[in-house]
Amino acid sequence: MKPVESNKTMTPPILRVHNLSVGYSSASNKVTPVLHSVSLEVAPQSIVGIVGESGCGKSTFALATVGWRAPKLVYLGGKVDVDGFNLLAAKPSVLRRYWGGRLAYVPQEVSTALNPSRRLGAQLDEPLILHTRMSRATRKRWILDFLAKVHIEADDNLLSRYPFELSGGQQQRVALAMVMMCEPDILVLDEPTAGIDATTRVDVIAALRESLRGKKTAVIYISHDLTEIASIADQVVVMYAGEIVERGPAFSVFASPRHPYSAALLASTPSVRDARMVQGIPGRPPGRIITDRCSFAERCSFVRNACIEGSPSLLPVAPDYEVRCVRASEIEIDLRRFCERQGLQQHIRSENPPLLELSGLNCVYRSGGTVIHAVKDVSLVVGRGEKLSIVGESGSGKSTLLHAIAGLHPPSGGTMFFQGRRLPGWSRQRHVDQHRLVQLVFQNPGRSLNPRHTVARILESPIRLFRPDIPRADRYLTASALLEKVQLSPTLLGRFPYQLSGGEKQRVALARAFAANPKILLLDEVVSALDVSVQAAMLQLVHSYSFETGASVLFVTHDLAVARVISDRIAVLQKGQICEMADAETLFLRPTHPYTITLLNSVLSRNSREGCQDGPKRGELT
Amino acid sequence: MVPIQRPTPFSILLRVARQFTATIQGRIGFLLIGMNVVIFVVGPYLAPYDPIETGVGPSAEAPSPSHLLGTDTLGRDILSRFLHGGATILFVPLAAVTLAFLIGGALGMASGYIGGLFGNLVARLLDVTLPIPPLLVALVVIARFGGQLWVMVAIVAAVYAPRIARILRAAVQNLTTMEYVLAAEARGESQTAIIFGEIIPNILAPLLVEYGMRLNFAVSFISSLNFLGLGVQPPSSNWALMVSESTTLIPTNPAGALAPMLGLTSLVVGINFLMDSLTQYLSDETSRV
Repeated sequence: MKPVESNKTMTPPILRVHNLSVGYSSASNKVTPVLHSVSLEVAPQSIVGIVGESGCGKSTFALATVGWRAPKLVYLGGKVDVDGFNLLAAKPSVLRRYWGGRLAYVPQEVSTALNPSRRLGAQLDEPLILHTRMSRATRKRWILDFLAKVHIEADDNLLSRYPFELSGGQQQRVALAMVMMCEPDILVLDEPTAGIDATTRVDVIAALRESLRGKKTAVIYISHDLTEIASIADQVVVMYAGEIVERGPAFSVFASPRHPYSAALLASTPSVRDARMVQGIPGRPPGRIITDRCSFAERCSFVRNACIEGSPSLLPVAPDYEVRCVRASEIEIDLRRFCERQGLQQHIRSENPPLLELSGLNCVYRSGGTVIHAVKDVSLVVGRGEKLSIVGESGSGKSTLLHAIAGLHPPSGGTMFFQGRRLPGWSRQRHVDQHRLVQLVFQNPGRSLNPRHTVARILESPIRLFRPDIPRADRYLTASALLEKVQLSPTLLGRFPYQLSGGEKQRVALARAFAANPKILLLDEVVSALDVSVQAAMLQLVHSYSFETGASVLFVTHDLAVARVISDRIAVLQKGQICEMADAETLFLRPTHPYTITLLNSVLSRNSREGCQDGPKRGELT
Repeated sequence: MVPIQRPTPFSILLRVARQFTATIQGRIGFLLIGMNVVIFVVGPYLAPYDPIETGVGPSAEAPSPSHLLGTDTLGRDILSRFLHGGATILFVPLAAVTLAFLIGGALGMASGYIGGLFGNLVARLLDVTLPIPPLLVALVVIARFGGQLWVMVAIVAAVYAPRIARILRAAVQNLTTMEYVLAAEARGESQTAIIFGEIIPNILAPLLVEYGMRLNFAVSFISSLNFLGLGVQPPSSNWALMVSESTTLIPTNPAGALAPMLGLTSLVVGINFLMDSLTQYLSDETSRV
């Protein structure tokens, strides 16, 4: 699909959001504002991408643009005009005629949005019955037509299935077909690819492009993933603390951001083109509206006195380009330099003496009579101080492999050697040093931290087990030192996990692993659930720990860009087997296995809008 | 910088007390049980007459200044019997349910955590015991061993242990695949440390609900036995026994019959309220994300 920037100035906008302010009311009837005076115009046939960290008001904005009256959501002022009709002044009974017809919204978790106990055919039929006067036969043809557009081979068999019988990517595409069927004027997509792996993500985005072709629909596309926004949007809106801080054409914003926040987001996003280290943004979004100074001031590297003396307003810096920063004009060049990240990669070759050797490892799952081979004949060597990434789609056996090394899933065949000594399959049979030196960090810190333990207790467990030299009374102090090591305040010691943000939880999980002074860190998708800014900070932590202590890292991820940033070598896992293993540079420049090439091609890249749809294009990745 | 302090035992105690009385329900429950406990402990010292001595007053007399709740058919002072008769109502079920929890809890948690053949075997054995009617067991055992207190405790513990074991087995099974349990296994914690440190704190809510419910069932169960004339034998005083003794007195002396009934009811309601309140507090605490 061609970008439609050219005719945007001619067509009048279909959606006008004017000075919109929104808040949430709490139990004590106090209203906390979360959006402050947001204005935005969207023309038909254009795609506006909205980016920002979690808690910046993106999802609330999305709900407001379709006039949604969520419980506890309070509209504090402003207008949302669709074709001259103010959605916020209308009654919900009137709006119901618009919702699903002219206004379409796809929520973040599609798997929970599709009714699990109704067949797909009936669910897809519903919006058509409500909003059109088609006959039964026409409706069916229409449904099959739209399913074909989102690349789903549709037949009666599919229509009689339940949502759980589809994969995550398929569910997402069915939801897309469902909202596109009524040919909406405005389509709002809230993180449509969150939690889907790279190859599936490409399918969903291709399906979106296909179904928008030739339609007048204006799209608002929300994502925390900058590369994804860059690959699909015409215009980009960067949100921070409930305000728009930068708005402009996608190409310009990503080529040279004018707001320090946008620049910091870019600097924290890993890229497959670039092996250099990412930079996190210190602190986290304030989670409220700040009106007396620049809301980003306390995290900004370019802060001056002028920034904290008053709140900056959104000012045009170029045609159709606005920035909320008092220093926007002076720091343009500095920002560009800021985005060109400092390299601190030091490559360690596999000549290092081996630390961990796996040979012919097999792992199976047994359920009932069937045996599933999760890991098949995997042999690999991790050198001392080496950072090895294992990439692959979900279900490729990556996590099982790590669990086997950690002693949680005894292999059915093959051997493991650690520091030249045999590593028993069962955790129980291992020596305390083997427990200590091999440390596993799980994907979801919400599940790996005991909800009933305080941070102090979580960190004291490994100290108690592995550091008998530290007397009981000093464990608390050691735990607080560990928190500082992962850049968290020791005041968090008394908190429970539910009182921490996702990034803080994962840092605590990392601190728990650091407590043991391990020789090898097994990291299972540790950054996949985090915002880019937090993800970058985590990667920096892992990198500096490995650099300072000489520890090896075995990093499992589905994100090739992350793998490129963190690793010296990369192994590609497909259906439980290693299909390619090479130095990070070599793998990205000269992939040899067809599956690796497929994976690399499924990576969205900032500068290629169409790259992911065509066949292999190796040159593009260099 | 905020000074870092390790929580003291006192601050933990304060937190627990706050947990119990987090809701109005909890405070009412606390009050009701408190009142009962005061009666059990102080009551016997306040009783104006000997509870088992007959003929301290005229037979079946209505309340008067010398007998505040009147007298029963044998001329015993009802107030004195009431003040003496509460302790067994609470303490026998308490001992019985605690014993049932020790046995059933250990079996259930072991079978849930270890799983495999052992776990299944234990679970099936427990299933076999479930259809046996508790009252029948009680009648047979009391007929053979008599109605001493320890027999009552043993009967209730034996009847409830399998039921408790099943609940705990299910709760533990859900948690064994949680990643924080895996993390503990991977760092080589002992099984005891995993069960007590990682698992039990997370099944506290269902555990307490179960404890409260079982305690209530046990109070009613033992009271039913007493009412039927099993267990505590006359002339010793006991609220349930008093209810059955005073049924004939209701028309002439309703207060004398009501006192033990109110005592029983307030105890059962109080336990319910307190446990409900605590459960709600515990589930609120983890659901706040």
